[in-house]
Amino acid sequence: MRPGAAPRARRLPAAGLVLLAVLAGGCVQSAEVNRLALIDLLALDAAPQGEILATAQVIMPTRLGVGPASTAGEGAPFFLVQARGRTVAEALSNLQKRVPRQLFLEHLQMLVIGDELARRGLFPVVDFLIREQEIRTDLLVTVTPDTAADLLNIASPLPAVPGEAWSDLVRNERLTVSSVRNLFVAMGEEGIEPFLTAIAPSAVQEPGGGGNLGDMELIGAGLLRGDRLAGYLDRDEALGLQLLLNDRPRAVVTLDAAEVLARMDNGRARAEAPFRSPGEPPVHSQDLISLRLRRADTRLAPVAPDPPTLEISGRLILDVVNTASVLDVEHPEVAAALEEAAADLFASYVAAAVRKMQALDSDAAGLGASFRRSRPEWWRTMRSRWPELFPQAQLIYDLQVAVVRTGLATRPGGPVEPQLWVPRRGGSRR
Amino acid sequence: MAASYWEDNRITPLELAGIVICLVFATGAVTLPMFTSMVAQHDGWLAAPVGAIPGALVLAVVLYLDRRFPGEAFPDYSRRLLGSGLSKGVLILYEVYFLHVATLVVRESTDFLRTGFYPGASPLVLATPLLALTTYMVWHGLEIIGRTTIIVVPVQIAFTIIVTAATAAQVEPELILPLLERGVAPVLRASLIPAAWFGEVVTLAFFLSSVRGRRARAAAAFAGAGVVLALIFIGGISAGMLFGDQTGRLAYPLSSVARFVTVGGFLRIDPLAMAVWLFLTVIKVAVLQHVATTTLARLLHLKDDRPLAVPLAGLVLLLSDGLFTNKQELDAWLLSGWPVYAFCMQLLIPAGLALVAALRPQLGSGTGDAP
Amino acid sequence: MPRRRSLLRGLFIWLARVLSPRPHDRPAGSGRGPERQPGDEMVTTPLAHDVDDAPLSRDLSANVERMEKAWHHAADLVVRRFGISGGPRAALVFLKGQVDDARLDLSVVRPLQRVPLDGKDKAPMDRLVEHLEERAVHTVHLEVLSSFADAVDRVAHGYAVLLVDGEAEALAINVYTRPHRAVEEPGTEQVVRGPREGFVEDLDTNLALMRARVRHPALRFLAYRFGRYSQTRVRVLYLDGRTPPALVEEVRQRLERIEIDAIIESSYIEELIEDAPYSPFPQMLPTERPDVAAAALYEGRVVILTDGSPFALIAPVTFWSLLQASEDYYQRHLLSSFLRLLRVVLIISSVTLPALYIAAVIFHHGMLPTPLLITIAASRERVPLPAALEIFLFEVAFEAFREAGVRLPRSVGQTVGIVGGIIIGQAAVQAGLISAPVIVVIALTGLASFATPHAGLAGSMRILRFFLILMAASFGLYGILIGGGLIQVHLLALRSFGIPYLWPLSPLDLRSLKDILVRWPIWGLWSAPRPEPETADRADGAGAGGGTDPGTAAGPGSGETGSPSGAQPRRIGTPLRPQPPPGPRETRGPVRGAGRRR
Repeated sequence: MRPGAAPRARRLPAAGLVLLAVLAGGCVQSAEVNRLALIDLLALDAAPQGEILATAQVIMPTRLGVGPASTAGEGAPFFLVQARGRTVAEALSNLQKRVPRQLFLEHLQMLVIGDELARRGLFPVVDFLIREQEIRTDLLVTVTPDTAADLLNIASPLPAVPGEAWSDLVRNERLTVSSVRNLFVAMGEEGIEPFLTAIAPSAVQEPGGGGNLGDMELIGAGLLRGDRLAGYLDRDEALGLQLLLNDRPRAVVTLDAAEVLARMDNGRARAEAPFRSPGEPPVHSQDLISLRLRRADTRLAPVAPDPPTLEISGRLILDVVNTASVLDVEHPEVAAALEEAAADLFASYVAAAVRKMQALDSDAAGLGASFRRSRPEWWRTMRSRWPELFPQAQLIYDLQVAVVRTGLATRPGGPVEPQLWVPRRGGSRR
Repeated sequence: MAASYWEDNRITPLELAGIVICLVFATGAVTLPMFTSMVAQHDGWLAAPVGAIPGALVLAVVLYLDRRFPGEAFPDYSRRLLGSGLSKGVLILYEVYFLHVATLVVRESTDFLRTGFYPGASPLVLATPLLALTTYMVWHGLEIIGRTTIIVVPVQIAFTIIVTAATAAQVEPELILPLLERGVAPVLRASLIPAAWFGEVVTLAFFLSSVRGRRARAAAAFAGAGVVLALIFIGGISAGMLFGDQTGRLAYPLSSVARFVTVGGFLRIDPLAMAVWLFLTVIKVAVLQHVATTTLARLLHLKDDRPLAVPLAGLVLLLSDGLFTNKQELDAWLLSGWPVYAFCMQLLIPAGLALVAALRPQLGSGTGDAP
Repeated sequence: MPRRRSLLRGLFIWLARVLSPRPHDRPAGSGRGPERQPGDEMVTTPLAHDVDDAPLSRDLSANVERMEKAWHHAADLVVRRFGISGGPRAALVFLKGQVDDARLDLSVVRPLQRVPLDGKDKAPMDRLVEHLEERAVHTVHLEVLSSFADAVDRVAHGYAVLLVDGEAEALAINVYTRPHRAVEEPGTEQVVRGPREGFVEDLDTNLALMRARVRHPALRFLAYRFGRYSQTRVRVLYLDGRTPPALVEEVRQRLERIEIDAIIESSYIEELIEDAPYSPFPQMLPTERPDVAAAALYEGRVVILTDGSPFALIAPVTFWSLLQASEDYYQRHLLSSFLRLLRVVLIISSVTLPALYIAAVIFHHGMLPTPLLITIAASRERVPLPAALEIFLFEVAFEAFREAGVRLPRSVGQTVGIVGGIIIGQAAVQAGLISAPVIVVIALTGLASFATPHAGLAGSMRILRFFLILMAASFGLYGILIGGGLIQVHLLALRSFGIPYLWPLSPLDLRSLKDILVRWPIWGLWSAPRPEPETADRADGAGAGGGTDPGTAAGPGSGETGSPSGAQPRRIGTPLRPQPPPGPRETRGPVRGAGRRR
C-alpha cells in the first residue's frame, strides 16, 4: 500500500487553499480574445525629427466573422490607427493609447516599411522585431518606394483578412521573400547584406475609376547597405538575385522565337528543318514562347580571389506553358535551342542583378559570404578590402536549363498564319 | 509493509535512459545553442559533441564506482572510501549542489515562461505548481519518476523531430559554414557549457544501484546520453542553420526555431513545444529533488525521506526567486562560474573517489573488482 | 551537538506526523472473528452474533416460540406444524417468498409425512436425513443444526428449517428461491455482434452463466457472505493455473477484512477493497456481461459476483482495459485496432479539449490560425462572460442535461436531451449569452466522453475535466501541463491489486502492448510454444508475484491437455493475462478500503 496515498482528508483543505491562491495569482495574465485589437498589417514610416510613424491596420472581427454581433459586409473589415514615437516600441505604445483594446501583434501578417525610414536605417526596427515576444520570426518584412501608411488603406477584394491576402500574395509568388529571420541573419552575417521584398500600390487603374483592380503588386526587391536602404531591383533583377541566392524562384519567362531560331541557325540546322511538313509557314521573327520555371537549384562558387570571380552553376527545370508561335517545341533541336536561349536569358537576369548590386554597393547576393564560406583562406585576405573588391566582382555562368514538358498540348495549335494572332511583341518576362 | 515497498523502489534500464535524457536535455534544450553560439558563433553546434566527451567521462567514472561497489549508492561507498567524517562533508557538498542545480533549473524555466508566454506572472506563482508536481513525484518515489519518462521522453523526441522537420524547407545549411572559422579555441571554450550539462549525469551515482540489470544499466546510461547528444545536436544544428552567427543573440534559440514553424501550414506549435519541454524540466527537478531528499535523509539518519521533500521544495522555490535578481545575472553566472563549479562536483570528486577506490582494492566488495 | 540533533529530529518527527499517513488501527469491532458457514462460506459478520447462541432445546414448542420471538413475528415468517407419519410433531420454519413452495411441498413435506420412524437403532434425525435423501430426488441441500443461531441464519437464507419434537437438532433443507428477472440483454454494454446474455440480480443464475462459459474443474470459487443485516452472498471466481495465486490471496485477504452493515450493490465491495479509495479512477471493472467476465478469467483475473447485483467485478484492471469493449474481440481486428486508437484519442480529448480551448483563447492567441481566431473573436464579441467562465458554466449545464436525462424515463430523457442540446444551446448563442465555438467544444467533449466504453472511466474524466479547466484558466497551457502531469503521475502511481494502472505502457512491456493500443489478431495473441522445462520452472515462481512467464501460452490446440495439478499451468483460451511488472514487485499490502469497516 502506498503510504503516500493515505488519508488526505486532513491535508486537503490546506492543499486546496494553496492551490486557490496560486490559481488566483495566475489569472492575472490572461486576455480575452475579444478584448484584443488584432493587428494584421503594420506600416512604419519616417516622421519628422527622427521619429517613427506607426500605422496599424486593426481587424474588426465582427465585420469578418459570424456571430450574433456580426456586421459582415458593412464597409471595410478594419480601421487604421496612427501614432508617432522615437522608437518602434514607443510608437506602438503611443498607438495603444488610441485603441481601447490591447494591441496584439502575434497575428501580424506583414510589416511594411516606408522608403524614407528604410533609408534612415533599419537596425532599431529589426532589434524590436527580434526582441518582442509577440512577433514571429517568419513575419514578412517589405519595403515600399513611397509612404508605407498609404498601402494599408487598400482593402483586398478577396473576402479574407486583408493582411493575410497580402502575405499570401508575397508568399505564393515567392519573389525575393524577406522575413524577420532573413533580415536579422543577413544583418549579422559577414559578407552578405539584407534585402527586402518591395511592394507598391498597383499602377493599373480600373477603367471605371474604382480602386480594386490589383491593389498592390510586387515590384522586386529593396537592397540594403548595412541597415540602410540603397535602392531597388526590378522584378527581372530580383529573379536574378533569387538565382544567386538559390532562393527557389518561381517565374514565367518569355523568349523571342527569333532568338531560338538564331541558335539553331548557328549550327547546321536550317530554318525549315524543325517543321513537320515543308508546307507550313516559317517562323515569324517576333513570335514568343513562354516558359515556366519549375525548379531551380543554383550554386555560387568562388573561383578566383582577385578580382573576385565566382561561378554560378545550377540546373533549372522549365516547362513550356505558351507558344505564341508555330515553332515546334516538341522537336529535339528546337528544345535544345530553347534551353540554350533560356539559359542566356537567366544569365542576363543574374548579370543585371549583379550590375545593380554593384552600382548600389550592396552585396545582397552574398558574394562575399560565399568566399567566406567556401574559401576562408582567401577571405582572410579579402575581408578588409571587400568594399573595393565587390564592384569588380565577376561571374562565370554555367546554368543548365532543361525544358522537360510542354504542357497538355504537343505541337502549337492555331491557324496557319501565326502573324494574324500573335498579340504583342517584346521579349521580357510577363 | 510500506517500508519494504519503499525500498523496492527500483527502475528499469530504459527508465534510466529516460532520466538521463531529462537530466541533460531539460535545461540544455532551450539555452544551450545560445550559450555555445555566444562563444563560438555559427560553430556553436560543434560544441555539443565536444562537450559530450567530459560528460561521457563523468558517466564512466560513475559507472566504474557502481561496478566496483555493486548494490551501493554514492553515500555508501563514499563512506567506505573516505571515512565517516569526510564522506559527510562530501555529502553536504552534494546536497547543496543538487539543491543549487534544482534552483537553477526552476529559475531558468520560470524565466523562460515569463519571457515567452506569461510576461506578467510572478515567478513564485509560476514555480509553485511546478514544484508541487515534482514534490508529488518525489513523494511517490524514484520508480514513478522513472516511469514518467517512458511517456514523456518519446513525446519530446517526437516534438524535436517535428519542429526540426518543419523548418527543413527553410534552413540555409550554408549559414553554419565555414567550419571552425575562428579556429578550434572558441569551440573548445564553448564546449565547457554543454560539458557542464552533460555532467549532470553525476546524479546517477546516487541511485544507479536501484536500477535493475547490472550490465543493462551501463548500456542504458550511455544510450540515453547518446540520444540526448543527438537531440542537442539536431536542435543546435537547426538553430544554426536558421540563424547562423546570430544564434547567440537569441535568448532561447530553440524556442525561436519553434516560433518560426507552422505545422500543416496553419498550426503554431510553439506553446505545445514549450509545454512538452517543460515536462522534461519537471522530471529533472524531480530527480534532483529526490536525490537531495534521500541524501539529506541519510545525513540526518532518517529512515523515511519523503517528509523532507516538501521543505526542500519550499527551499528551492524561495531560492529560485531570490538567488539571482535578474536573467542577466543568471546568464553571466552560467557562463562564468558554473562550468568551474560543475567541473568540481561532477568530475573532480567522483574521479577522486574512483582513484581512491582503484588504489585501495581491498575496499572493494570482491565481486565487483573488474577494471 | 546532541541537542541540535534532537532539534532536527523533533522537526522531522513533527513533519512525519503531519505529512505521512498514520497506520489504520484495526477497530475494536465485535470481538468475534469471521466464521465459516456451510458451502465453505466465509462470513465476517455472522448473523449468529446478533441472536442468542444457546443450543436448541428438545421441546418443539419452545423452539418454535423462540424462533418466532427471534424473528419478532415477522410478516413473512411461516411456521407450518405437522406430524411426521406416525412420529413426533414437527414444524417447518421458513420465510415466505424465499423458498420454492412447490419444491418444499414435493420434496420435503410429502416425503416427511411418509417417513417410517420405527427403529431405535438410529437417532430419529439421522433417519429423517436418510429418508429425505432417498425420497427427495431433487438435489436439495440438507444440513443438521444444533445451534439455534444457525437455525435462524438458515431461515434467513431461504432454507426451510425442520424442528422435530424431542430433538435438540434441527434439519435445514435448502429450497431457496427468490424473485428475479429473466436473463436478458444487458443495458449498459450493448454489442452489435456478440452474446446477448447479461447477468441478473440472482447469484445462482449468474454462477450458472459463468459455468456455461468455463466448463472446466479449474474454475474455482471463494464463497463469502458480507453485511450484518443484508447477509449478502458473494462469490470470487478464478481459474486455477491462470490466475496468479498471489492475486487470489490478495483478494481473499482484502475481502476477509470487510465488516459492514449491508452490501447493496457490488460497488460496495469495490469501494471497500480497492487500492486507492481517494482516486477518481475505477480500480475494478464492473461488467454486466458474462462473456466479459469469462474472458477476464481466462486472462488470469479474478471475478467477484455479488448477490443482488447484476454487475460482476473484475480485478485487477488497467487503464487500457477500461478502454476496451468486449466487441473488440468479436469484430475484425483492423476495425477494433482503429477503434481502440480512436478511443485513446477521444478519452484524452474528453479531458483536455475545454481546457485547450481556454488556453488558446485567453492565453496563447498565437496558436490558432488567424481566420479561426477572428471567427472566435467575432462570435465572442458581445458575450458578457469571460471565456473560462463561459466554458465552465456551460460544462456544468451540460452535466445537468446529462444528469436530468439519465434519471428520467427514457422517452422523457430524450426530450430533455433535445431541449438541452438544441433549443437552449441555440437560444443561448442567439441571445449572445454564449459563443458558438463554446457549444461546439462542449458538444465535442461530451461526444468524446460518451465514446468511452465504461461509464466509470468516463465519470472520472468528467471530474478531471473541471480540474483542468481551472488550471487552464489560471495558467494556460502551462496549467494544463501541470494538471495533466499530476493526473499522469497519479495514474502511474496507481495500482490495481498490484498491477500498475498504466501497464504495459509504463512500466514498458512491448510484448503486451500489442493487445493494448491495437487489437492484434487472435492467432497473433498466442505466443509460440516454449520448451516445457522453462515454463515449468517459472510456474512455481509465478505465484510469488515475481516474474511470471511472459505470456507463454501453448498453441491453440493445447488447451485441452495437461493436468490442473501439474507444474505446467493450465492454459485455456487466449493468453491475455495481465502480468505483474518485472522484478520482485509485490502485490500491495494491507487493504486501504477494508480500513473503513464499521
